[in-house]
Amino acid sequence: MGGSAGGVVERLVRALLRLYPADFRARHGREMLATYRERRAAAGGRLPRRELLRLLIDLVVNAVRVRTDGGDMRGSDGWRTVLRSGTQGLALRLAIRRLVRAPGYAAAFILTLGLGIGMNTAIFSVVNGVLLEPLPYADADRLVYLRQPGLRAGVPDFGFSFVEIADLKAASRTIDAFVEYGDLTFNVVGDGEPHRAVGGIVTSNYFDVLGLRAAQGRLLQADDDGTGVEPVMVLTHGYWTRVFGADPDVLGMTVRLYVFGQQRTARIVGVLQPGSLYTGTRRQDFFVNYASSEHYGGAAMLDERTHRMTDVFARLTPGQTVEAAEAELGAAHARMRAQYPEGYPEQLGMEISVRPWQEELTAEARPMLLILSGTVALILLLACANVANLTLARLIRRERELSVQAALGAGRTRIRFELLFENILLSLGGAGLGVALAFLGKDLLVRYAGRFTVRTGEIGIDPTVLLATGAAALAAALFLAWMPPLPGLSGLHATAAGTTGRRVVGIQRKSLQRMLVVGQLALCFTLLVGAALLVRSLRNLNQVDAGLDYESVIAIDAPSLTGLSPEQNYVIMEQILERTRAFAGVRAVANVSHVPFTDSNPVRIAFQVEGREGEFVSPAVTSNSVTPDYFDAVRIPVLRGRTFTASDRAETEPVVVLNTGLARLLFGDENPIDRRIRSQQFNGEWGDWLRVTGVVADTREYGVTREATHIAYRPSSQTFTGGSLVLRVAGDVPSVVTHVRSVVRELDPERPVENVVTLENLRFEELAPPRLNATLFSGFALLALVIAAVGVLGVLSFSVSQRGQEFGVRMALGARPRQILGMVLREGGAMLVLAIIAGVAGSLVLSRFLRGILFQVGTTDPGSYFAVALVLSGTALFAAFLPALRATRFDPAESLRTD
Amino acid sequence: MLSADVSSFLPLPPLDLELLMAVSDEPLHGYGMMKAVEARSGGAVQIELGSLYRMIHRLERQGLLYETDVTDPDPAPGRERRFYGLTALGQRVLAAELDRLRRILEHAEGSPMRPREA
Repeated sequence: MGGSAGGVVERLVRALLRLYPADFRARHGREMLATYRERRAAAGGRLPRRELLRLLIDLVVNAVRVRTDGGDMRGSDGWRTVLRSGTQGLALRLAIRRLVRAPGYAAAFILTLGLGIGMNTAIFSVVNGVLLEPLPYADADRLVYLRQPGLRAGVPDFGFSFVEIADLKAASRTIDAFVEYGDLTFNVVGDGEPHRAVGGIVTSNYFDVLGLRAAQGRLLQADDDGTGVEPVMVLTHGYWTRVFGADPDVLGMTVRLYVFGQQRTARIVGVLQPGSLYTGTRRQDFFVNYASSEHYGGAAMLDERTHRMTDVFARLTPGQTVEAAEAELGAAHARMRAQYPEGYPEQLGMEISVRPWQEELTAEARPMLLILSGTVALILLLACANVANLTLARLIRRERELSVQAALGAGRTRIRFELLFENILLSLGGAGLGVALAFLGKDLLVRYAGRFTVRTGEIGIDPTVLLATGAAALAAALFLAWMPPLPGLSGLHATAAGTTGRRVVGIQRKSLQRMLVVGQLALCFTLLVGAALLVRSLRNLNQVDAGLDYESVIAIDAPSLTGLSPEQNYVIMEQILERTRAFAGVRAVANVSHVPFTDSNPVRIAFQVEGREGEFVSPAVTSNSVTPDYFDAVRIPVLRGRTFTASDRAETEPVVVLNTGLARLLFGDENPIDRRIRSQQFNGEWGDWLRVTGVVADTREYGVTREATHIAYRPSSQTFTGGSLVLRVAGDVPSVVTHVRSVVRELDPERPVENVVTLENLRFEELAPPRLNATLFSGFALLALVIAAVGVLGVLSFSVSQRGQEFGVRMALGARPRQILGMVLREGGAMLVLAIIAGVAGSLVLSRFLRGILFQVGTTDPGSYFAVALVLSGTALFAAFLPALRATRFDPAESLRTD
Repeated sequence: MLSADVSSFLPLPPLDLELLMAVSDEPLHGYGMMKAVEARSGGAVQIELGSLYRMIHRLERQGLLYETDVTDPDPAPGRERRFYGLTALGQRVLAAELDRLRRILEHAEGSPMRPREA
């Protein structure tokens, strides 16, 4: 019996018994162990976990209580007596008085701990709200998200067709509910301005599975599902407040919804309760039933396997795992691929994946948040080391006073409690400051997290976080009151009898202090390296030549969503362009399907060159439909041939302009002009032959962080796509925008005009996440540098003050100030060298975590390491210089006299 | 003199009272006390290992408990246990405390706050 578990526990009990004073252990140790064994035997060889936990905690608590018993016979415990004796008020007042007399110490303590705790509280709040807190849904832990990626084509998710969902439903036992979710942008035309809004096309079980409730009216019901019923709509609380002014009379009101160029009139039947919704990668404005989109009831939607329009959420059957679901659905997917090979072309490499929804939702934010958590934890460590150092130094400085107290009869316990009182006061101050800082910093961090995930609704400084903070402060106070060895109490009488007040500081304590400083400097080095790498990375990003001139260029979205045919839309677009071009402040204007610096995922497309049909390449390509003036508007240089002209019409030969990268890929060194290429569509068929009319310079229109992509430009006059305007303006931007708005309103009243933005701004925004990372990290590193510098300053000042006599004697014996200076600086230098060695080692390990977010900088970039070593050395030596200077000012005569 | 000594211990902390009562009939070792306290209170009061020996240590030093020369009737080899019993002072303190509690109870019974039968 007992087995290895009993053995482990018994060893633990033995270990805890060592916490008791030796005399106590000698008297009761064996008995305690025997009692424990009897108890264990009575419990059948193994104590239940709860009892075991209670036993262990009790052992620790009582060890402390026995130790603090202070030889007091009457009271049960020393500390109880302290608290009961009515002197705690006095003790508190004394502690405050002592701290007021040491304002520098108190301020440094509170500030250091406060900063450490504040940053940790704020970051942990974000981590908690984004990554840890369950989603605000019923059964959130069972919610998974299905993807159908095309791995070979580099497409993250094709979505699912109704036909596929039906197949999966029929095949699955691991999933008890499938929720189809169409994430669409609607053009909403009601009383106010026509605007675009994000709507979810859902079936009624959507609300059920997520456990959502109505604040007004009702949700979708089973009889709203299917086609041929009335289109109805449920608003989110946020959209209702923003657009309808929280008007309770909206129920029953109708709005016109345009999507896929088709119009339906939907009746508002309900408003959701306030709260956050996370079912798309965007923030939803409303939900509608399938009948709200003509397209959803169409034959293509219902019958075509490849008509993939739907996102799929699923709820696992209780007791099932994500892995089991993925295995089961994977097998079903393989059967579908085998049965309908035409729906799953080989070159796309389609698969199915199942992931917890919470993970999916926060995938982008996770790495950065984890890096940040690690960073602030390091800073807290650094802060604690600093505070420990401060306490240690202060304790040694008070050595004489403490010795006198001890000689007058104050026990160790009493002195420890004095320290504890002080530390609790200071730590509470630090925690208070920390929480205040966290509240101040939280909003910033929420906005920061918003760059990476839509899930920011649950970020808050919640009780758990506050509790953790309080616990951290208390732990710090306890640790700092009991950790440092009390000075001089063993040789009390000698010290108290002595007159100098200067004692040789114990080598042990001194080296402990030094180790703490070395640790601080090393941590600081690591943080500085992280900051340096991110700053360098940002500089590289800023220096990337986008390949186009984006100054004085604005973009405006004016998509047609009201059911015009592409051709009709193009006619209107041409009129809009014509009348805009005529406006005074406009230099050039073009219609584009894709505005530079906005998000776009290149797709792998297979290309063929005429005459070489046997070979084909499939690069990741983005295509952009543009009108002829586009190249002029953003000043993309034309390298060969011509760009588009007014004579490229729908009825003339289809043409294409390639960027240099794509031209080189397809044609090598041959002249591509007048050659013909074609690309493969998703259904596997080859498109029309396109004649290459020109080659333009490479640009990074689709993201400066991406390598220059392959771009194929097509004329809007042949593709009839493109709903945005790009304008090069001279002069007043608002008047241009007003003009465009009035032109659009006149030609097509229900067309929205929105997202007015300068390209400069777009590019600035694109670099916002790396800029934020660099700023945040630099801030942290700077803070760490200050803390570490204070650490060096403190320790050396202290060391100098302890050795004053020594310096005096040395100078009396003829040492020059320069030599004394050198001695102290060398002391600092030695710590610095050790710290840099440790720091380099630490950085080499830790900087690997940054790899994913660095741009064209290696994690071992020698320049960064060197720069950091310089900065750290400069700061540390400067911090060492002040105490060194003081060391040269000791008066030899004075120091000889005192002894 | 002695009575003043006794009253300085009163009122006894509840756990001290439990422990003294446990050893008032016969000397017990540590585990015996644990069991006795638990049994007497019907499981409501449990004294954990660390607390138990801290209390034994203190009560012994206060002169209320002493180590008896009772030995284990059936000792396992190498497992001779220490048995603790009440000292004369311990007996008086316990008696005084019980007397004190009894008087409180009597007083309470005569008062309108007396618990009534439901």
